[in-house]
Amino acid sequence: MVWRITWRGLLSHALRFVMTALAIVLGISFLVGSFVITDTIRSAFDDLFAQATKGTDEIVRFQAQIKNTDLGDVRPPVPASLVAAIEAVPGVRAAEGLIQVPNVQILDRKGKPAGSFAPQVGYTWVRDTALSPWRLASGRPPRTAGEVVIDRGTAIDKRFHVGDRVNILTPTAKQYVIVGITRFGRVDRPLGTTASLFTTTEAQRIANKVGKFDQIAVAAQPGVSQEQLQSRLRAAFTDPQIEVLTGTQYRKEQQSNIRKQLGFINIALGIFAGVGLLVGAFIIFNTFTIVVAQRTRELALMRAVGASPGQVFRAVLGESTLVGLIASIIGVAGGVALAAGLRALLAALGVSLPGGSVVVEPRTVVLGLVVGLLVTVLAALMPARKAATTPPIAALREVAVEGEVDLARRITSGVVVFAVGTAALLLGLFVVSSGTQEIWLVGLGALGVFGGVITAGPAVVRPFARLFGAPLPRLRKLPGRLARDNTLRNPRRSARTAIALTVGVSLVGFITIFGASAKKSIRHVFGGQLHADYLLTPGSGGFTPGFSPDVTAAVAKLPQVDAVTGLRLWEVRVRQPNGKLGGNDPIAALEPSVIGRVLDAGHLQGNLEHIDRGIAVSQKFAKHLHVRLGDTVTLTFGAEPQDTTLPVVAIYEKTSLAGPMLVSIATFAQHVRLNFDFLDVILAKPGVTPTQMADAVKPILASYPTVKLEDRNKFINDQAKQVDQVVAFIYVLLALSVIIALLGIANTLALSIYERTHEIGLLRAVGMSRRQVRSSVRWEAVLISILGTVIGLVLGLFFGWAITASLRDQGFTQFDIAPVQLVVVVIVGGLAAVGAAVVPAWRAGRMDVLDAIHTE
Amino acid sequence: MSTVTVELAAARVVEATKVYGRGDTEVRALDTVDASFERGRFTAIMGPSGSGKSTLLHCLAGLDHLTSGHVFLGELELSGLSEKQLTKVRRDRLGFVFQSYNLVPTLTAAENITLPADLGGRPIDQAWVDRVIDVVDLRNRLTHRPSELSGGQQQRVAVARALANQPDIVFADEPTGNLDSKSSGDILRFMRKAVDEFNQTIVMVSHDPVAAAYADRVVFLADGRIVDEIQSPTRESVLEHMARLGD
Ligand SMILES: Nc1ncnc2c1ncn2[C@@H]1O[C@H](COP(=O)(O)OP(=O)(O)OP(=O)(O)O)[C@@H](O)[C@H]1O
Ligand SMILES: [Mg+2]
Repeated sequence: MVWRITWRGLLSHALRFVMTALAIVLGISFLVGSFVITDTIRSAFDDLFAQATKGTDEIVRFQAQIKNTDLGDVRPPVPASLVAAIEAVPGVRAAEGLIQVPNVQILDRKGKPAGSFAPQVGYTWVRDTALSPWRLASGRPPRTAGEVVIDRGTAIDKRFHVGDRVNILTPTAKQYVIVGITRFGRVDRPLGTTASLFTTTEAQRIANKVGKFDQIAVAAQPGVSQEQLQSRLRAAFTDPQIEVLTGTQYRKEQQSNIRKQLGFINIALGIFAGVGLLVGAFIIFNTFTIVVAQRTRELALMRAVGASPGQVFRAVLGESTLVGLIASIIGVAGGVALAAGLRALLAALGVSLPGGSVVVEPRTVVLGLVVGLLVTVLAALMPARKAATTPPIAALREVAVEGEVDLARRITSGVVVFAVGTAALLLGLFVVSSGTQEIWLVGLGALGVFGGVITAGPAVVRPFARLFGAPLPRLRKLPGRLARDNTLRNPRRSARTAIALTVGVSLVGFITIFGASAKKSIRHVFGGQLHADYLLTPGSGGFTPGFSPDVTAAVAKLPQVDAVTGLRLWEVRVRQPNGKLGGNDPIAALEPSVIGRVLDAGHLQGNLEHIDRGIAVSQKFAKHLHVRLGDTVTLTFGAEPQDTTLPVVAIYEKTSLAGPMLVSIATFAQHVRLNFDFLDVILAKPGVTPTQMADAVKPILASYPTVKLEDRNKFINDQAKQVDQVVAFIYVLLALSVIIALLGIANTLALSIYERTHEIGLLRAVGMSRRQVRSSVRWEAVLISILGTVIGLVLGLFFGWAITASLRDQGFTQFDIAPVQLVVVVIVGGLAAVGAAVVPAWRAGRMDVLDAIHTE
Repeated sequence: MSTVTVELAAARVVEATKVYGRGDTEVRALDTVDASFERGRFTAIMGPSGSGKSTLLHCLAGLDHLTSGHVFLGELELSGLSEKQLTKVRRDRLGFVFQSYNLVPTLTAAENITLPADLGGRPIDQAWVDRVIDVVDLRNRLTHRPSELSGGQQQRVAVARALANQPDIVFADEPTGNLDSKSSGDILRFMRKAVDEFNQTIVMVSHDPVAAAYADRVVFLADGRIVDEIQSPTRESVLEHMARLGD
C-alpha cells in the first residue's frame, strides 16, 4: 500500500523530481568523477613505477634530510665509488648508479620547448637492461658527452631522427647529436614526460653531481631473494646514513608518495563536491517541503480514510529514497563519463594515460551511491515528518500553505547562531594558533555563520524584496509588481531558494576578495621592496623552474648593466633552541654585493652585504631561534649528510619578500646541488636607459628561448596574474554549486507556478499576455537570485576580510573588496537567474487559459 | 432574423458547434447554435447541467475555440484571431466574472479592479472607476486583500473589475453560484444597475430562476441546442419553462 502511494506520488509529479534529482546527479558526478580520475592517474603512475623498477631488487641511497619539498624528498647523493663496493657484495649481479635531472628541456627545430604539460627530465643511460625501463627503438646508447638518446614520443612529435642535432637546455644551452631513440617499456613516452638520456659522466656534470649518484639500483643474482640481498647489503654498509630498500619497498614508497599527493587533490575536489551536495540537499529539502504542502489535502484525505502517520511518513520518505537512488546511479555513471572525458582532454594535451579505460574502484561506486542516497533521504526527513503530522481535518480546508513565519523568534535565534559562529571563526583565525583547533574553529564558525543566515533568512526576505523590488512596479508595471509580491508570498520558500545560491556566491565572493587582496598585496610587496629595472624569469610552465646561471654571468658582463643577481629558493631545516631539527623553512639566496640595492628588507641590524660570510635572518625568526647578531644558526640544506653552521650577519624587518632567511648564491651553490637560477634582477648603469639595457640583454637570450625579459611593472603584473589563474580555477569548481542552486531556483519557480495555475489562468483571462506572464516569472527569479547573491556577497566580504586579515603576517598586507568584480557577480547572478527561469516562464506562459481556470 | 438585430448585437454565434473527444467518447457540447446578444441588454443562459452553457460562454469570450461555426464580437470575428490578438480583445473589450477564485490574491481589491487596465498599460478613467466602486459599494474595502474579504465581497470586486474596463460585453458564469441569497441579490442588482445605468451588455449563465429573473431575456439550452427563450422573465415564468423542458 505504502509503496503504491510512493510510486503514484512520483509518477504524478515526475517533472518536479527531475530537477531535484539533477542536483544530486551533478553533485555525485563531480564526487565520483574526481575519485575516478585520481584513481586512473594513480593506477597509471603505479604501472609506471612498476615498469621502471621491474628488474630492480635493491635501492641503495642516503637517508632523506628534508621531506616533501616542491622537488620531492631531498637527500645527499652517494659517491660513485659505492657502485663498485656494492658489486663486490656476494649475490649482486649488477649495480648501476642513477641520476635524474629535473629541468632538461629539449628544444624543437624552431627553438621552442618540445614538452608542455609534463615534466622534462634528464637521465643517465643505464646499460643493464634489467635495471632500466628504457629500450632503444633505433640507434645506439650515448658514448660521448655530446651524444644523447631521446624518447620516441618527442622524436615523432618534433620529427627528430638518429643523426640529427638537437639543442637542449640542461639548463645551460648545449647542442647534442641524437644517437638513439628509445621507448619506455612498450610506450613511446611515459605520461607525456620529455626524456633525454646522457652518458653517466655527462648526466653527473649537468646535475652538478660529478663523481656522485642520486642512488644505486641493484640486481640480484638468480636464486638470491630481495630480503637476503637486503640484509647482506646492510651488513656490508654500516654507515647509518645509508639506506637499503628492496625493490618492492621502493616501489611501495613511490606509489604511496603519489597516493598522498593525489589524496590531497581528492580532498580538495571533495570539498567542492561537498559544497555542491550541501546546496543540493537544500534544494531537495525545499522541493519536498513545497510538495508536501501542496499535497496537504491529498495526505489529509489518506489520513482521514485510515492511513497511519507512519504510513504517510514512509510513503514520502520512500519517494525520496527512490529519487535518491535513481539520481545516485545516474550520478555515478555521469562521474565515470566525466573522468573519461577528462582523460581524453589530458590525452589531447599530450599527457596520455596508458591502459584501456578509466579506473572505477568498487569503493567509488559505493561512496557515490551511499552519499547520494543519504543526502536525499536526510534532506527529505523533515518534510516527511511534517507530512505524517498532517491532521485529517486539513482535507476539508482550502489550499493549505506552509505555516507563517515567527519573525521575532527567527531573527533572535538567527542572530544568536550567527554571533556564535562569528565568534568561533574570529577566535580560530586570530587567537588560537594550534593547527587542528584552528581548522575546527574556522570550519564550525563558517557553518554557524551560514546557519544563522539560513535561520534568519525568511525574516530578511520581506524588507529585502521591498527594497530591491521597489523599482520593479515602475520598471515592469504590473508583471513587475506581481513578481515582487510573489517573492513575498512565501518568505520561507523564497529564503530557502535564495540561500542555496548564497552558499556558492559567498565562496565566489570570498575567493574574489581574497584573490584581489592577494594581488594588491603582491603589488604592494614587490612594489615596495623590490628594486629593479628589468628581470629575467624562466617563462611559462611550472615544469621549468629555472634557467642557467650562465645567463646571469653573461648579463653581468654587459657594459650597460650596473648589477645583476640571480635568485635561488630552497627549503631547509634549522636546529631549534632545543637542539632538534625544525620543520621545512624557506631560504633565499642572492648576490651579496647586489642584495642591498635590489631588496628593501626594512629596518636592519648588521649588514645584508655580509651574507657572503654568513646568514641574514628576519627579526621574527631570530626571536623564534633566540639568536642575536653574531650568534650562529645551524641548518641542513638536505643535499649533504652534515649540518652547516653560519654566523648571523644581519637581522632584517620585512619578511614578505625576503622570507625568514637569506644567504649568498655562493653559500647556496656550495651546499645545494641546484644548477639553475629562479630569477635574475637587473639594474641598469646610470645614464643607460632601461630600454637600451634590455636591447643589450636580448642577444644573450637567443639560445634561451624560454627565458623572459620583463621590466619591473610587467614582472609585478605577471606575479599578480598568477593569482588570477588560481582564482579562475576555483571559480570553475564553484560553478558546480552555483549551477545546482540555479536548478533550485528553476525548480521552486516551477512548483510555485504549478501552485498558482488557477491564478495565472485568471490573469490570462482578464487580458495578461503571455509575454507579461513570462516577464513576471523572470523578475521573480531575478529578485530571488539577487537576494541570494547579495547575502552571499556580504558573507563573502566578511570571510574575505577575516581570512585576509588573519594572514597579515604571511604577506597579506592589503585588503581589496574588489567592487567591480562583486558588481559583476551580482549582474551575472541576475542574468543566470533569467536563464534558470526560462523553462518555468515558458511553461507559465504556455498554460491553457481554460484548463488553468478550472484547476483548483 | 432581421438585420436590425444583427446591427445591434454586441456578440453573436453562427452555427456554433463544439465537439469534445472522438468516436465513442464524442460529446457535442454545442450543436449548430445560432444566437445573438444585443447591446445594452442582460441575457441569462439556463439549462440542465452539461447542456453546454459554459462552453458557449467560453467560446463567445475567446477562451475556447469552436469546432466549426463563427463567433462575432460586434464586427470582429474571433475565429481568425491569434492568441496575442485574443488576449488584447479580452483585456480591452471584455469583462469576466467566474463562479469563484476571481481575484489575484496578492493584489488589493482596488488593484484587482484596475487589473486589466494596468495590464494594458492604459490610463484609468478614474471617474468611471469611482462610480463603479460606489455602485458595488466597496469604497471602504479598497485596500483589503481578497483573503480579507467575504465571498460576496469578492464577487462584488470581480463584478467591479468586469465593469471598470467599460467593456463591450461582460460574461458571467454562475457568478452567484457560491453565495447566499442576500449576497446573490446584491450582485444581481449591481449587474442590473450596470445594464440600466451604464447601458452595459451582460451575458450570464445561471441555474437559479431568481437570478434569471433579473435578466431581460432568458435563453434555454439543452444538449447543446437552444430550445427555448423568454423575454422579460419572472421567477414564475422561468420555473414554468424549466418544468416544461424537464418533461
Ligand atoms: N474539456 C472537456 N472535455 C470533454 N468534454 C467536455 C469538456 N468540457 C465540457 N465537456 C462536456 O461538454 C458538455 C457541456 O459542458 P459545459 O461545461 O458547457 O456544461 P454546462 O452547461 O456549463 O454544465 P454545468 O451547469 O454543470 O456547469 C458536457 O457534457 C461536458 O461533459
Ligand atoms: Mg458550467
